Amino acid sequence: MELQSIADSLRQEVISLHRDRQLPHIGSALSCLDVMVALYFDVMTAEDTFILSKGHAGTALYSVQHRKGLIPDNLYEGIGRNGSPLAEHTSYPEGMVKLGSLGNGLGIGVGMAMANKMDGSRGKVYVLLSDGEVQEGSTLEGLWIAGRFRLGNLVAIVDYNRWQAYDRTEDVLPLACTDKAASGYGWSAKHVMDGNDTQKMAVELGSLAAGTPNLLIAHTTLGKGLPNEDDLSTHYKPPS
Amino acid sequence: MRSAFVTELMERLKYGEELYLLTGDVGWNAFDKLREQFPKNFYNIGLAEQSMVLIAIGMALKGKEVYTYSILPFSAYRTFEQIRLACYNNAPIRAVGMGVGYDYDIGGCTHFGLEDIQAMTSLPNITVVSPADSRETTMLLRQLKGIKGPAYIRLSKNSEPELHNRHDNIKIGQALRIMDGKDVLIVTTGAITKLAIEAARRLEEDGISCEILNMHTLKPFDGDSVRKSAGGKRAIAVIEENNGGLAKLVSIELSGSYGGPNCRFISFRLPDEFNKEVGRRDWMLERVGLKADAVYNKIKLAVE
Ligand SMILES: [Mg+2]
Repeated sequence: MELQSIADSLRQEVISLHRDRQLPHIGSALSCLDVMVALYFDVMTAEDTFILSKGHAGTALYSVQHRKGLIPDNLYEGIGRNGSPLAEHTSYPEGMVKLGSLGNGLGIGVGMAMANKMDGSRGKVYVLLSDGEVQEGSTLEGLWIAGRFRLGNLVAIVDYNRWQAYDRTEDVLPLACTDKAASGYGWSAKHVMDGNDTQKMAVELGSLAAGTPNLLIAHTTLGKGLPNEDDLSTHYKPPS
Repeated sequence: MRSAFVTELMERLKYGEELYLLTGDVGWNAFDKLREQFPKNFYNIGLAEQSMVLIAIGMALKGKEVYTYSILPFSAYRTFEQIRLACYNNAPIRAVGMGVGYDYDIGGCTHFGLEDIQAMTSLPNITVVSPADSRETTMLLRQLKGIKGPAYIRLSKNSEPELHNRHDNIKIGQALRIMDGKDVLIVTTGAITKLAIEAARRLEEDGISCEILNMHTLKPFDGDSVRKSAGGKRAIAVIEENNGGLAKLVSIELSGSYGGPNCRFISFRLPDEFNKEVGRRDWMLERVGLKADAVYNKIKLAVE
């Protein structure tokens, strides 16, 4: 199946899931779904690791993993119901880093990339961040440290939907991990103007610079595909 | 304890074991030999303690044995949420906090380790060890190899090579009885165990016999042994270089009934406050009653 049609059908699944179970954070899930489809269905190999640092997009990741056969039907069906091990903030399957507290994924990714280098493994580590969580100082520390250790096996993707939980990101603080800043720390960095174009993301993720960590600032739309996309209400209100 | 820690890591590296020491720019001099001989196993991450722990989580989830090191508050408090994430993900990191209680004495309150027992034992999944002397440090480090989850290790700057001769009985998760007695139970942990032994010896001279339980493992906490040893005692004294963490752990275990008739519970601890005046460790401990004389007097009064 073509990447975009996988993304389209998962988008519908995620919307119904949020509507049916009345789950928040639909906006965040839909803005980065396409990136995860590109990673899981095209870019990543069995040796690679994915970290969803913006853990609040958990349902999007679950939908991708379910389609990949990594989450059984009954558990996927149980999301948002009493007794589910699949929390809204990513908590499943075992072996995935469980996150939800912002600013921690990049540092863990740095450690995994260092371990892969120590082992001479070819595995890459992909970390998906929100544009808000770059404000966490620990994310910036991760940028410095990854640059200093020249982690060519580390890829960070910022879901640049230009919204954070209360306001427009740039109205709170200017984006801290600009391509210029990251380049200054030793990263190869670039903007991808249509971060919701799955095919385009796959191409960009497949043609990264070698020898340095890579940062992709993916321009995306909060709540992509909803009637009220690019509106902050999608961060809180489940679709009706 | 720090040299026991470094020596143990170097021994293992010499035997070809793979392990990594991350420091938050702390340990100048102490780690020089390790860094010289095993440059690939030592990382000065910089003044970025949260990232130090996050990196350790990443490495540990990829199967590496990894230690993080800083002065206690920066190792345990600055990084509290990252250590919590290690616990949530069951990542077997080894976080080392250097300098318990007033160890950094003249240095002042930012460097004191007053609260780490409460903070660290409050986390699910963690193992918390608190050696009393250098030999315990070595043995506990070895036994931690068998622990699959994260661990926190609190090390004292002021420690003796060997405070007792029962090291062979050390087992993580089990209280270690280092003195036998029937009148008083003393529960203690860490380097301050030395004070507990001194006070107990003086009480013995007066015909008051003391049992000492050394809680080298604070989590999981061996409440069974505490309850068992409390049975029939005339007083239970808790001695710690902390603002009450051990006393709380003990009292939870003893809630309900404990001890013999009219059994007294005495807590020797650091006060729950930031010191307005600082001085050398001995002076500071004496001021808050953590001195053999004071402990001896108070326990004696309680059982008479
Ligand atoms: Mg955002």
